[in-house]
Amino acid sequence: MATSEENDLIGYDPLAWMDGDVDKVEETIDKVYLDSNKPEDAGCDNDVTMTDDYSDDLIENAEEIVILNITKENELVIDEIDSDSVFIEERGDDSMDGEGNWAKIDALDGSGAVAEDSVSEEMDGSQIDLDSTLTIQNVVKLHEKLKNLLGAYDEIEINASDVSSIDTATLQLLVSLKKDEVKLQKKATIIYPSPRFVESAKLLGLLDVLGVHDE
Amino acid sequence: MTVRIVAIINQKGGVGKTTTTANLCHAIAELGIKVTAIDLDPQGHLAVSLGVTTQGIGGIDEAMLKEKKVHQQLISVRDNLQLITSGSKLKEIEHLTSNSSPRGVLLKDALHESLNDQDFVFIDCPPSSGLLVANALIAADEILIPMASDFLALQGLSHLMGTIKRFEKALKRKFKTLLVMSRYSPNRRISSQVLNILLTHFPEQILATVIRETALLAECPSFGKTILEYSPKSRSARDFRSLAHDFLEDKVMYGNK
Repeated sequence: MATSEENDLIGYDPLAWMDGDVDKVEETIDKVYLDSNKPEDAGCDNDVTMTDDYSDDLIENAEEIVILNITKENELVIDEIDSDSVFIEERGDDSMDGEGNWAKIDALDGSGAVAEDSVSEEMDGSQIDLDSTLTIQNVVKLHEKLKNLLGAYDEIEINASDVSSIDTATLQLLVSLKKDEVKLQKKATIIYPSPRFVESAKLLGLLDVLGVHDE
Repeated sequence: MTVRIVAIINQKGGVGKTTTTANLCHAIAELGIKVTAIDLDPQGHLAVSLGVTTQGIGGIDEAMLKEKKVHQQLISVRDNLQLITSGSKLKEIEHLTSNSSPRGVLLKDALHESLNDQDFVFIDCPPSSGLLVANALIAADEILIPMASDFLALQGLSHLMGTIKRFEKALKRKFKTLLVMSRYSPNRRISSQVLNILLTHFPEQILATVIRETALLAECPSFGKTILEYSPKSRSARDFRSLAHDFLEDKVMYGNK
């Protein structure tokens, strides 16, 4: 396995999901490409023309099947500095910044105050509300939010009730967070996951690791 | 020998699919092995790269639409190397209306019991994830993925592997999947880091020779020549000759695991 020092020009490993359970992917290809009739759930009627809908269907499905975890080298180490602050650094290379990594934070004031941005509409103490649309464009900001919140609280809640679209980069971030809970001696709970959130997590076989239930 | 059908695929553009197809096919053909290259990209760049610029000729499009047989579409472009162009109707196949036959097996059906005198059929796929790529995956036995050495190529590969795994599950068979490092810049540190990550996930699946990015490889398509003709003694020509041996002999890099 490569070390993070060796890979310090690459923020995270998009292929990390391949080391996980890849047998849980759902299949629609047989219906879309091997049957003569397009299925009802494929996004359009059977009698419509074969347009970009089909391409998009495959692309969208493919996009949902990525990234189940972050490389071992990007796992977190947390050291208590004092009762009011924590210091999180990336194992093996503390020179890296926060671009996609759990990098360094320190000297939080314990109040949980974090900078305002567009990632979460609302933060209520140890709770963070996820936006409706979560994309790679905002994942760095979300990462910062979560990192800061984790620095301030031992237990945080991530409200996923409004999520209507979530990409794999964001899911990777959440998986990485969940996987590092024990090491961090923190607890992050995803609460009120929306049907879309659950569907995406289920598609990727991430329900368990995210602690989300398909009800 | 049974013909081996290889899809050269990566939905990300600019990773070197067509360059790999044209030059690898020619390098293999130079060894006396019979190769057919299919241009499944409606842009028709493979044909241009091999010097076929005639407009309006039918190609794999007509075979997929059952208007012609595959053997009628063959163009001999080099010794031991023949080409099937994309054809002007190929892009229309993406817009086929629903009918009685499954849309994903058009290429497989067209190739059925065809080209049995060939050793290899290489399919140069378009940079997309649509119906044409689905046809290539369903028709192919093997997959060769050209990979550029940058982060976005890794991200694209992640998507592609998800697609391939879905197809494997749906088709109930595993593809033999190999990667080739194309457009490799040895003087860029990120190149080795991308390769390092790939070796972690694809141990013994990356062909041993990396194709270094050179200006010559960018130049030769405009002359309708492969690198073996355009600059036969160049390092790029050596790279592709070496890659051909790697491919035929399963010579791969060892992984990091």
